[in-house]
Amino acid sequence: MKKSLVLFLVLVLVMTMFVGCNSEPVNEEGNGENEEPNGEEEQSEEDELKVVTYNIQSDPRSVDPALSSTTNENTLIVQLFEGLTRQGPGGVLPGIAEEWTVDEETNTYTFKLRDAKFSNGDPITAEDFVYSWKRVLDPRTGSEYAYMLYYIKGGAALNQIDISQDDSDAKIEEALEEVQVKAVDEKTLEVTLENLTPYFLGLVSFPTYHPVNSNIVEADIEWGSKEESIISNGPFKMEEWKHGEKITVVKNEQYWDSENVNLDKIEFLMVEQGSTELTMWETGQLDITSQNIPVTELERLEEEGVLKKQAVIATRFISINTQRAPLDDARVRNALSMALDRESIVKNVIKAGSSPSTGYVPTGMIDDGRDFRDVGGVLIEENVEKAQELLAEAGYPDGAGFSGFEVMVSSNEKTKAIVDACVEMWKQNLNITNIDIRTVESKVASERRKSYDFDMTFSGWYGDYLDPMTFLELATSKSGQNSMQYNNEDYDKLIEEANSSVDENLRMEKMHEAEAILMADMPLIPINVEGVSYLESERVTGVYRNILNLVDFKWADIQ
Amino acid sequence: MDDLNFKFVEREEKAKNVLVRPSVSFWKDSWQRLKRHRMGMLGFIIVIIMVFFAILGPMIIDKSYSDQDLDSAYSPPNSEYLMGADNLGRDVFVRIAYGARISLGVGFVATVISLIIGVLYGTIAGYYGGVTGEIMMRIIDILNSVPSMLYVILLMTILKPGLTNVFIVLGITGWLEMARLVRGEVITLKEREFVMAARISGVKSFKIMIKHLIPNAMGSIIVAITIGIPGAIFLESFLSFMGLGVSSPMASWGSMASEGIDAFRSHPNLLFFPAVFISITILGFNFLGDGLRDSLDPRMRR
Amino acid sequence: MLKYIFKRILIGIIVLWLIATLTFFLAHAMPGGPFTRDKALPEPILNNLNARYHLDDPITKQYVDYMGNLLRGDFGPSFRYPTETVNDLIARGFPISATIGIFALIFALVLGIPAGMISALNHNKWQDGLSLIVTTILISVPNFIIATLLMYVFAYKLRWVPAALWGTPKQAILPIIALGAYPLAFITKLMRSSTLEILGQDCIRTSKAKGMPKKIIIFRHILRNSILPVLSIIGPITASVLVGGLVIEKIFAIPGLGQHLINGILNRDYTVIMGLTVFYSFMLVTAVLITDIIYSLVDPRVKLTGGDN
Repeated sequence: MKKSLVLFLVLVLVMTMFVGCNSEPVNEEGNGENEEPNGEEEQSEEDELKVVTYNIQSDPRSVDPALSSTTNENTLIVQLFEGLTRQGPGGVLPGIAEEWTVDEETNTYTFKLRDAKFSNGDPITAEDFVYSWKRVLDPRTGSEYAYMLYYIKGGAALNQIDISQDDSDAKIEEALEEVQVKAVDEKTLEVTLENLTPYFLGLVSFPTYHPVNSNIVEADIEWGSKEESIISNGPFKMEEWKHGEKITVVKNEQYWDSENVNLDKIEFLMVEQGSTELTMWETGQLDITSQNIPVTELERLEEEGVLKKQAVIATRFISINTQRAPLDDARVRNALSMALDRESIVKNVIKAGSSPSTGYVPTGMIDDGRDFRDVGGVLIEENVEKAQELLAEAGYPDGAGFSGFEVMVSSNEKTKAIVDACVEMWKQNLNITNIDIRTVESKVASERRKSYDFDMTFSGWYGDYLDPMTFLELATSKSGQNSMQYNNEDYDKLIEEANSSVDENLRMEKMHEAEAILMADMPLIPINVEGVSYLESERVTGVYRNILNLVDFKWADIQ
Repeated sequence: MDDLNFKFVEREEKAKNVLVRPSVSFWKDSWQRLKRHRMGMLGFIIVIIMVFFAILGPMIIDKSYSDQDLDSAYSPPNSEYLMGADNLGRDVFVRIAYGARISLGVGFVATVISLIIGVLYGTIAGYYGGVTGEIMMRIIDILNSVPSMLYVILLMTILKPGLTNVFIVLGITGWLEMARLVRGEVITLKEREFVMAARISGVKSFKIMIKHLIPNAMGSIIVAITIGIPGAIFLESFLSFMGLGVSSPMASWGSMASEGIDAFRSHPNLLFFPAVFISITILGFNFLGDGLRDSLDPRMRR
Repeated sequence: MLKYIFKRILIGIIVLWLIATLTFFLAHAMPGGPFTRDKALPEPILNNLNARYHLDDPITKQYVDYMGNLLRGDFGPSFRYPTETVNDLIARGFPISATIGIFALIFALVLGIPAGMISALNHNKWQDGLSLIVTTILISVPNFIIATLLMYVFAYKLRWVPAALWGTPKQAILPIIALGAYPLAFITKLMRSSTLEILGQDCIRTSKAKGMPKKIIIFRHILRNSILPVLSIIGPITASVLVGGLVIEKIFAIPGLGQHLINGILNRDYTVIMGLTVFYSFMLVTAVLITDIIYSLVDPRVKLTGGDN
């Protein structure tokens, strides 16, 4: 008995040791909304603060606007930073720029900056923008979205310099001078574009165009990952970054419009499991969910009247490696496209406010007062018989002799059900049974896509700005996003002509023509226009969302 | 000696004094004991039913596990879909039947692989003993010091997710206990007379191991198998939960359960049925294992 | 005794070194690297990053460098979070994971040992039947399912505790129970069967015959002997708790070591993978060592001279 006592005591000692080691402060308030969801406030100071909790699902690597690449990162960056303009209720609003003028002859924009400061008090000057934009275009920065700045004259030339060459540094210095953006004076920024770009004002609100503080950046290349060095100029500033757990931002008093910012604090949580996120929202631990709610719950949530939907400009499509047989035959690709029942997929599998695609460019973009998609008409046909005919024409009557292909699915993808559905449809309608669905771990999937080592993969594109070009340029032969290896001279030519058109109508015409060619070749098979669903607690109001899938808390408030 | 103190016993009288119980072989005796062990028999029945379900089920069912009917997506259990339909209108019952093949298959194959490796390893380690034996056991200790799941995840990432690789990986990481157990048995057994006799007679070591040692350790080995199979089934469901298991559209109980977690609130049947099948199967093997352990244990002969 | 401990520690160090080596090569065998992204980074950037972290050195040099650092207790930088080292990640995540793990073990032991004994002492009565049913369920249902059910019933339906995250004692309840469920069932069963075995032994009957009070019999004889098998499996049980923790932390969104390990593997964060594997193994080796020592204290028949465990 003595010995058992010893054992027990040892265990108790060990236990108390680790309880003491628990470095987490007893965090009664947790995340703004209580763990006891009956509305009781635990600490009196927290009573005064307006806090919103939002789920960004995972940890961003950095909040450096030049390095952003995911929607979640952008959501975070938009709270911390601000560009010349800001998208908000009403459209494109003045941001750091108070007003602007355009010289249509020379495609030159002149922005007049207001008196604004960074969160550390440094004034924001035109030179900051010049610095930041050139930095993005500098190939040595490694900005994934640098192509967003190709509209600036000299931008593409700079960014496309091959830095593995020995003389690259010299070339870069030269090219930097050639980029047509300059600070006329402290508060005046002048930029000349390659072509007339009607959506430029919207573009400059995008994170890649945000200004960064040159002193901070030059001091530490990893400034964007460190809590202390993240100096920003937006409605909020970084307070605390607990990796893997949460990011806390607080109201930025130095922000030029801080009097219109109502929230005191936003907590960005990192919950990956969809079902957990949902339960947290339902029990009050989370105010606003990500767009990752389990598809299975959407119907129920809709019936309960709590589900919120947002139309976005995004197309989900099947990306086909056009160099791989038997998919290198356009007839085969068209047959695959025609054999799909998109309506059924949308209604039963995807749900979430989406609609079947009738073309590659989704709905939501303006063409002379009408929707671009309407003007373009229905470019996608669904006809099982015709599909079978095409397949036979290509040499595989009733699927005979078809050598099959492999669909590469990333293991972290939520689209598995859609893949299953499509493959099954091809089996049923075209009698193609040798389609292999291979789940591959996500890093491996990225590598293979990069090196064009795949037959088919399911993909999609969210528009970066409100113009069809954001979709169409993906299929040009020089696009870094063109994993289909699609190379059509006519298509490239039309896109180039569209980009250099001064006449808006001509530009639209060219884009329509290009899309028609694309849909005849089908290097990518559009499935549906995406919609997003999310949940928002009733106590939060004023969250701005738009068709670009932006989520902005600047004007948000708590009742 | 006096004739009066002894009487010549006739054969019939001798026969009367024979012990009541006829002598039976080890196996027959164990089987009889198992039959009396209630839990063990229950486990046995469950296992048999599951195995038959796995083999015959898909054969008699018309539909395939990938047949989808999008319009029937998420149907609750009804006359057409006995256990309901999943997100693509695939019949849950059909997928459970096919899934049985996968899950049980993983259990069996992985255990057999670990069996082969483990038995050989353990027998060699136990038979030769000495330094070789020590080293071999230390290696096992090392491998045992790492949570095998880590290596499973690592290996699954290096190899591609897919059924054959699951078999291989689970087999490779699962043989440790078997080896340890067999070694223990062999150490005891090799001191037995029949082994010594064999050695003296000049029987080759290898033959001794194959013909004498392993068959006699069979009892423990069988028990270890029945405990190992649920472990493998559980690991498979864990891997599927992490997304490293079987590929679509194939279904294992584990992958169905992990998909069911998200659907739990609105469509509990998608989680309920796979979970129940996993649990009952594991339970069956556990009961059977308990029963076998009791019935194969010579110490418990009455 | 000291000699034994010393010898075990030495072996433990060798074991850890071997594990580190094995993991090192396995990790580097994975396709892709820490800087592989969805949208391809321009090659020169990739090369710069790789150079900065010495990933372009020959593999043997990387290995030697890593081992050298390891001896100094430096697990290296994290590739995913450039501002933190693996040591930082462990320092932050370990207390959390350890708390859950240890409490889960305590939960399992404190409930399981008495439950098993009571079950055995009331063999074939209702207590035994009840414990059989409960342990059966807990042993056969995978822990991520148990976790989901617990969350649903207690957080969502009953609102007794918060659903997820970490920080308050209330948030610890569900994860600990979910993680401790399987060990609880296992320990209960083991305790029950070993108690039953002891009960059948002659020395017990003798004591009863001698008229010893029941309580003393229970504690002095039965507990001391029947607890032995339970002690011997604390090692493997710890392993299963370490691994089970990965899933539990994922479901309850707990910022422990589990998510770092999983993400490390998925992100090819070599240092994180190696550091955490070595760390986990260290935990396991220590747990087994402590168990063996305690076992020898409790069971006078065991002599710590090596032999077969």
